[in-house]
Amino acid sequence: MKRGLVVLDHDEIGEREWRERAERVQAQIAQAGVDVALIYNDVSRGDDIGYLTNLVIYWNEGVLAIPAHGELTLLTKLSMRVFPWMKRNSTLDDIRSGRAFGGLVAGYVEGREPGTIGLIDADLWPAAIVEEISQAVPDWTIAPLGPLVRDQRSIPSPAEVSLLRTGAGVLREALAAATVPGLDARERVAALERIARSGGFADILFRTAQTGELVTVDAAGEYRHGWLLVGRTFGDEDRVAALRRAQDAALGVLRAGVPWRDVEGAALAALDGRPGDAIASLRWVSQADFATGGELQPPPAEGPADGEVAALVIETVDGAGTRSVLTDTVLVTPTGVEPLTL
Amino acid sequence: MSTLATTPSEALAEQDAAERALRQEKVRAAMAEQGLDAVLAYAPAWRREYVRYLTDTAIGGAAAFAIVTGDEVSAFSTRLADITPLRRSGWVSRADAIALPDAKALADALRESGARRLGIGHLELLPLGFERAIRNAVPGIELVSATKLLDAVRMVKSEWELERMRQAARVSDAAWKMFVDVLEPGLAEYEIVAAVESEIKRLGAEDNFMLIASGRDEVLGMTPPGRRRVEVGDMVRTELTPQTGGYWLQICRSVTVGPPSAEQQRSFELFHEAAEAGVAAVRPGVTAHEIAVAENDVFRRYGYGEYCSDRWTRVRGHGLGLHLDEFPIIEGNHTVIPEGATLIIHPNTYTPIAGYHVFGDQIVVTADGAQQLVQTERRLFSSDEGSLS
Repeated sequence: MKRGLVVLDHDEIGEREWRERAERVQAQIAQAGVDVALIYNDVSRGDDIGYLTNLVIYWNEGVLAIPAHGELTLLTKLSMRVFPWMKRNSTLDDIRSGRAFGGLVAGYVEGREPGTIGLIDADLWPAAIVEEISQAVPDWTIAPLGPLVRDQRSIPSPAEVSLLRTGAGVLREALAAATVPGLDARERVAALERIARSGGFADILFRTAQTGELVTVDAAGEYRHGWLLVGRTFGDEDRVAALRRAQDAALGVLRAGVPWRDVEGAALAALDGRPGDAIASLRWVSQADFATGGELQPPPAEGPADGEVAALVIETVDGAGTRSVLTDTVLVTPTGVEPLTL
Repeated sequence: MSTLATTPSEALAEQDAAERALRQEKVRAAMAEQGLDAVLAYAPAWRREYVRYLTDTAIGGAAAFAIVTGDEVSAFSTRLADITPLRRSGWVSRADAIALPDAKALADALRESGARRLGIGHLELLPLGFERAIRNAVPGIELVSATKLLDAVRMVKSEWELERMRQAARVSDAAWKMFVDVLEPGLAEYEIVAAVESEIKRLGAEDNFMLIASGRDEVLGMTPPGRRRVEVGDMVRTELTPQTGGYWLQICRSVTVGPPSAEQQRSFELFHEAAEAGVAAVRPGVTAHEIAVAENDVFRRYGYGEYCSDRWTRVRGHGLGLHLDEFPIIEGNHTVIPEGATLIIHPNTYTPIAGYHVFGDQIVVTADGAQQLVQTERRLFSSDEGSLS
């Protein structure tokens, strides 16, 4: 649940960049013959709406209506009393409240010539809400669209990279405090929370697990609307060293365009010598998918693009089911990577 | 890569095993009553209460499921890291990782169950991708909502659950104490939140829902924190809801920065009286409507009835448990609240007296009324004087 700093700062992201983000999506939907595109986000997965408006879906759900031409509109079940805050902290002027998304969409398209409504990232929309909207606007065609906004988000702009570097600096400091020897799992998380949220993080999602002396901490931190992913293992120096060797090997070959199998091969070869591991895996999660850990997307088919920000997740699970992890976030360049959380 | 070996379940303590049996029995009885072959609980990342109820496991995956058939409970998650805790929990017969587009292990389990009429908890939130995977796995399967079924099953808390909630309440009390301790002029809202978050995580909270607002009578409601720095004369409002052991435990309080003004004190007295009226209305069989009316009548009596409308406030309280916002306490909601239900009564709203004010506590409905779960005193706090009533 969102409870960290929410701020709209035009010194960080200029008004022109906000406008251009929306215009790029509008150009794509116009080209696809769509009159109005809709984005459904919820409190756990709100980055598309955040990217286009800076609005944080801190509660339940929201739908953003993007006409092929014109102003963006938020459709929400929240009452009007929070609209002043929403407007202060977003680029939105038009926010509409109602009891159900079907009625809100019907109200939004009222007076327009019926055409096509496109659902961005359609497979992630609740089927029931799609049905509700379809019934509310029977004269309109409902068409699925792909991940138009996530695709755009996967390559951050220079301004976004700058924010990510700032956030990464805070997170490195938090990690340093959280990895002091002798802390228990709760104390490590407490240190992470204190430093990251004091440093301006909007959210920190974490999971810890403890098996005997072995402790794992997985954390996803959101700084403004950029995410940084880290994972650490404590309590077994051999395991940690093996994971580190695998990470070094992967980062040694990683660069823009490198075939994914080369990176995976390098990492897994470094883990080959570990006895007793039932699973050793390497995942590549785009920054655009950090809110969901990349779990709702297929693995990338191709190697990383120049300028992509992503997390390299190296996991092992032994025969007893005990998991170890090492995760870091990097910026991919033509010649290698810029480590962000290392 | 080889497959993960079967991980032995940890033996459940006797009371845990009894709780697991009780829950499964309640769900299967409701299934039978509604003519369902199986119940599938769906957990998007922001609504995990049903899967938690059936697995007693803290899930991290972006999507997770638990299926109850006639003779077993199985669980599935999109996150590999969830699988071992699920298997070790002792609450499920099997646990497997799944991925779209086919969610294979879940699809296999549904096929093996032979279910033709499947109730889905949170069907209303089930993404198209998973709905397609289910329909492809079992062509012709009838999908019906089991959301109300699972809400009804969970409404009355067992003594096992209440004990968990009392433990969680101690974290909420500590969170409020930290909130007051850290508060001082010049501190930014987000810095207050950072201190509280750190403390509750140190105490073992899994998550937290928290809203905040600082300022004077211009404050209309609470939101996530901003950069605003608190000033002497402010009132800082918060709704703190740590989740511990799966259970959300909410406390609502307002604290003045420096001594309270006469208006802030008068505002507190109004909200305190309204909250007390709401608590006094609680008894087994009371409706949410009746509690809301009791609270709102206090505002109406003093001429502030208009501030009980949805223009100024959302609800006058709500159920809490494994989800933080269950049945709403509002006029017009005739949900009957039984003994053993847990809810918060908070008449939070704006008035022109001193701006938005929050005050309320989570209670459990007892045979003869209500019992408060948190121990924090029900009074107006001040950042530099400890508390003033």
